[in-house]
Amino acid sequence: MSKLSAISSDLVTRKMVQTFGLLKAALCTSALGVAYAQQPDTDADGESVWLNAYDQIRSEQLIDEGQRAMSEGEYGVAESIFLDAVQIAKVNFGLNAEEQRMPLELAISAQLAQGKWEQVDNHFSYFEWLNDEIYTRDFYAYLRGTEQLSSMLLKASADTSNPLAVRYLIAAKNLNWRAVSSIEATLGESHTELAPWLYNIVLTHYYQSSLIKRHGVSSTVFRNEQNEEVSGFTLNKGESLRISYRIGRELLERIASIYEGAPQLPPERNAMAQIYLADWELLFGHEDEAVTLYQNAFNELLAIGISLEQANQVFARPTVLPSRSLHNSVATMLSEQREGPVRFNAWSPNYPAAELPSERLAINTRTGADIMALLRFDLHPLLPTGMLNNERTIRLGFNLNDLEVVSTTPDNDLIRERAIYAVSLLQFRPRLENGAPVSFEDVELEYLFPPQFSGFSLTGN
Amino acid sequence: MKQIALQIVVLVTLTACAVSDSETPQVRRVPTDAEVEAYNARVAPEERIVCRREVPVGSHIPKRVCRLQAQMEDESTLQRSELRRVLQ
Repeated sequence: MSKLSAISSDLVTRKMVQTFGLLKAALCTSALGVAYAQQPDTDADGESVWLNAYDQIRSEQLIDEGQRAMSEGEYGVAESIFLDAVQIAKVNFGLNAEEQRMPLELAISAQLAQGKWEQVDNHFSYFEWLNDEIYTRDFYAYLRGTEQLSSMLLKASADTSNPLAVRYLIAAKNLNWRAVSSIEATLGESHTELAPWLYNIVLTHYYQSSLIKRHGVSSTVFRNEQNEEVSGFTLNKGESLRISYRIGRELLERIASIYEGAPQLPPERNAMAQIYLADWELLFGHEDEAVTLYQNAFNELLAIGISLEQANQVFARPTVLPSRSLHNSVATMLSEQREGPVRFNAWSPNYPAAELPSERLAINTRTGADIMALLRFDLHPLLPTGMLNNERTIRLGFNLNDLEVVSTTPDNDLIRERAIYAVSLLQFRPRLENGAPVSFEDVELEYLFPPQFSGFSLTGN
Repeated sequence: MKQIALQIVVLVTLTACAVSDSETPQVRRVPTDAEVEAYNARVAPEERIVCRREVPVGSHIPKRVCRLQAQMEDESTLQRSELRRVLQ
């Protein structure tokens, strides 16, 4: 009985807070809003205007202030401002309102920049709880929140100072899987909405395999006797890589089958799905299967009426794999290509050979940023091997040949050496002309080193 | 006589095969890696399953085996304690 009354009293309190907040917001935005004035601010004419501390406009101002502080590197100040904005969203829209998510994401971003891992972890849990609450009310808002949280988890996992990097990568992947399950339950198992989520999981497996290549990764988590979650046994490297390959392939085949049953999508959708499947084979060292799949895709493009010129264009520009986004039309894929040297913006030292997925996932630090190298090489449709200066023999990315450094910023021999090593890990989609693999001569690539890159001291040239 | 006996054998064999779909026992298949991962993402850590290729005793052909993770943990704890008991 007492529990029931506590719950109802809690509900009444929440309702009161919500109603009170809305009432205050309404009063303040009305012509007579000054009656609730508490804090001074200035309007466009520079005159003082008195605003309510919980006015929604105040929240927007706080977000602007916080972003200014972030750009000036004052992360602690920004964090506190964003957390105030979260409180205002709670008061104005309710304790489990969607409007909290934006300031909360910014607050987490500020905490990430300061390496406040415990607070980050708590806020991730809170964000997840909030998103689950939203799921019961608005499915699409839940999906948007899942995307937001997944991006933040990936960003946290890319930070080299994060002791829980692997855990966050697995958490991001699990979150995407839960989104897939919810879409299957709500929209059906072959809905096109599934495709980008499935592709996100494929990309996460690429990051995971990139991490595994560097060091072992605990692939499972279990509860110990004290009921704490701890990392469990580790699958060996080879087995982990094989599992990642199989899952990626299975998901890409599923995307192909979803596209096949979706006549509303462009007619080239099946060929596009084959290209991504071929990319995956290439990334895992199955060059022959990859080239066959690329050729099948090329032939399919021609079969559905795409001109030879346009089909050649799809494979005309060197593309670093894996592609960051999933396209189901030739036009959107071509729109991503840019003129000039190929640019590779490395994401994090945690994930070698992985490109920054989006600006949103960039690590908030200047350490190691602005280090770049311009390289030149040929791409031949064959399998070369290469020798590094430090006598280590490495296998170059499929078809990468005659790799040389044109220039580096700052000019430094060690940067040259590291740039050669980093680029040798990259894989490129082969060039096809009239369906046959051909060479790319003198490809230029701008390699931007990742933030937090500290593989050497820049002082000793 | 021999021919009749043969016909009976063939008839019995074919009748045995003619079972309606509803009576066909469901084929149990080992879940794929993606299915396992999708399942594990939804359940509590102690309910997760782990699949891996193992070479059974008396064979060289690896077989994919799936187990509850908690079961694997229990088995390793038991094996560790047994080993400790034998060694002491």
